[in-house]
Amino acid sequence: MAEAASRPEGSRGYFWTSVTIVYALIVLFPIYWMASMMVKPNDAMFARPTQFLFTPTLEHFEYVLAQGFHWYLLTSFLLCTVSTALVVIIGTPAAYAFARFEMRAKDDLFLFILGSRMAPPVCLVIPFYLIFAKVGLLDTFLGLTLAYMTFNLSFYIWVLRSFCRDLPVELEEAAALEGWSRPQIFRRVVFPLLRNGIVATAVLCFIFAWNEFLFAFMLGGKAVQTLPVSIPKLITSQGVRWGEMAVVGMTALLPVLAVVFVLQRHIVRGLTLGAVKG
Amino acid sequence: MSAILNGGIPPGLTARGIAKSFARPGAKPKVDPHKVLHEIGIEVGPGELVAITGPSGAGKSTFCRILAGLERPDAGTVTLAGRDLGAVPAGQRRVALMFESYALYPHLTVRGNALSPLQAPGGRLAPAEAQKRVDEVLELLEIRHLGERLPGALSGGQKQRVALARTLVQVPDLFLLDEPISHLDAKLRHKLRGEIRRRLSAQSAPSIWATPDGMEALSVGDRVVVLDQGRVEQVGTPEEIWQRPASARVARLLGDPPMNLIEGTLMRAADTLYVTRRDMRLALPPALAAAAARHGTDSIILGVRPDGISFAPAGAEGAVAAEIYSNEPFGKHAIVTIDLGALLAKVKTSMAAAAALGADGGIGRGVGITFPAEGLSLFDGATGRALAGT
Repeated sequence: MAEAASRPEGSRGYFWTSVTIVYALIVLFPIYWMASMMVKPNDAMFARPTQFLFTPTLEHFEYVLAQGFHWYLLTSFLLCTVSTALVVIIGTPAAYAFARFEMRAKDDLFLFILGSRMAPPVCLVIPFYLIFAKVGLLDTFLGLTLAYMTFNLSFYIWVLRSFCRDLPVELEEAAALEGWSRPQIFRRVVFPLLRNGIVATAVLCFIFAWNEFLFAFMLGGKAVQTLPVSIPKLITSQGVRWGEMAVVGMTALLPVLAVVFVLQRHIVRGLTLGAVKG
Repeated sequence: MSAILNGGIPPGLTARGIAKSFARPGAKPKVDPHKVLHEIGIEVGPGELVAITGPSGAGKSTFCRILAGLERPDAGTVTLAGRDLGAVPAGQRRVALMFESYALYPHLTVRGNALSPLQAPGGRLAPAEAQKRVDEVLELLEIRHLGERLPGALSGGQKQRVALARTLVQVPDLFLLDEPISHLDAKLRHKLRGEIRRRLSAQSAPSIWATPDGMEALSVGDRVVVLDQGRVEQVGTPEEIWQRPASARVARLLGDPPMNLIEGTLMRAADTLYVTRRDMRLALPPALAAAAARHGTDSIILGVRPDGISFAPAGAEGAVAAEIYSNEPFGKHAIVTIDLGALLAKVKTSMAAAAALGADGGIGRGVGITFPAEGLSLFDGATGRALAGT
């Protein structure tokens, strides 16, 4: 009912719809351009006037595969998955504890955790580099995983804490009174209600890790190369390989797009609505 | 009550000296705490149902939460079924608490919610047995047809009944119902009040029923405890509380509408004691006069029930002058509000008497009222404690 009332009526509605469409076209144009570059022959790439019609080619794909770019994709995927999984495993209890329990210097501790996210990454990457060099984590998969986990953990705890705070504590009290143990309460009551929050936040962490360039570039070295780091390889001494760049760029973009759709579905809250009256 | 019979440990619930304060918002704890409960003591025998009533903020919910172990009292002891609960965590107290806020699990269906306590390690039942008991309770509460719904799809009254079901399926050592029927419609409230009372009385566990509605407390409780601002104002059977409210605060909670409380001054003229207020002058019946004289206080509160006051022609002999403020016909009786001069009082009278006050309910007209000789109460004007009542 409220939805229908808030929908713009008549010509005003058409106006805003067309504005939205125009805006969407402007935003989506670079993506279209990149997609078209993937299959554009090199001689049509910078033709003047611009050629919108051309014979598509798969040569850029062949080159990218021949250069072993699918391995970088795999590295990126594993790195992001493992680091996000660690973030969820470590961060969920931490966020819950920050939301629920009284502890000494809680606010200071929380600010400290947030601090690692607020500092510019450039400032952090140097100490990371020095420490990793000392302990032998430089150029290792484990080292990069830990680095990603560190900067995502603070964000994850920060966001999930507010999800935890929104859970009425009385649900847990009710379960405790029924005789469920604390781990059982977490599994039966807390986790099902936090699931949407966990998925949404983890997906954001995954995207941050997926898009990350600086840490991967500095700490991964030659041994561990992620997709974003691999793209500059296409600036060669024979020139910039624009078509190949578009292929790799599009490959990097697709998971993010897919993930945004998932996020939309899960970010819709409302599961906790109706738990408590009022 | 039965403490002597059982070697000092009563089989029901005994709470002694329960005190609790909360830090005021924004203030440091321990400095100027907000005292919610002052040394509350209560005994509930096995199978007994004690109703706790009091205005909101009286400490009813906090008291229930302390008994359940969700809140730690600053002082006091709780024993239940012969166990000292001081160090027993909430989960092991065998207490079934119905939350005022319902606290339904939003991801479980109505049936899942009601089954939950029967699946817990403490109260586990064979699945078939558990289902049977849940069915029976859902049937009683008229929500069996909603069994597969999620709480989010229910109305407030339905949610309250699910919370009630989740409590009633249990066989605990103590039932705590915090405003169990406050959000139900009148018809269902009438039906369930009796049904729940019957069900609780059939169990050997003591029960506590907290409600801000004094009349509900009188109707459900074997005994009634009246709380006000964290203090026990009165404990007694419904008759005792109704007949002899211990203070003006108790009187204010009871009745529909509640007792009229008229602040006045005692005056002696010849052999008679009068209560005076502005130009009102009311001679006290001998029994009340004797009690008032014994007490020796001048500032006084006169309590009179709405159905005790009757109308007389304005200016009639012995009648107090008043003005009609509003007139509400209810069908079987009428409630007339009268203005005694900066004080509104309610009169419960017959439809005919209310109609006789004039067209449009006689609003604004002067009228005389007479007080009964019986059914008056006197309270100390300063402390509010009862002096006498007939």
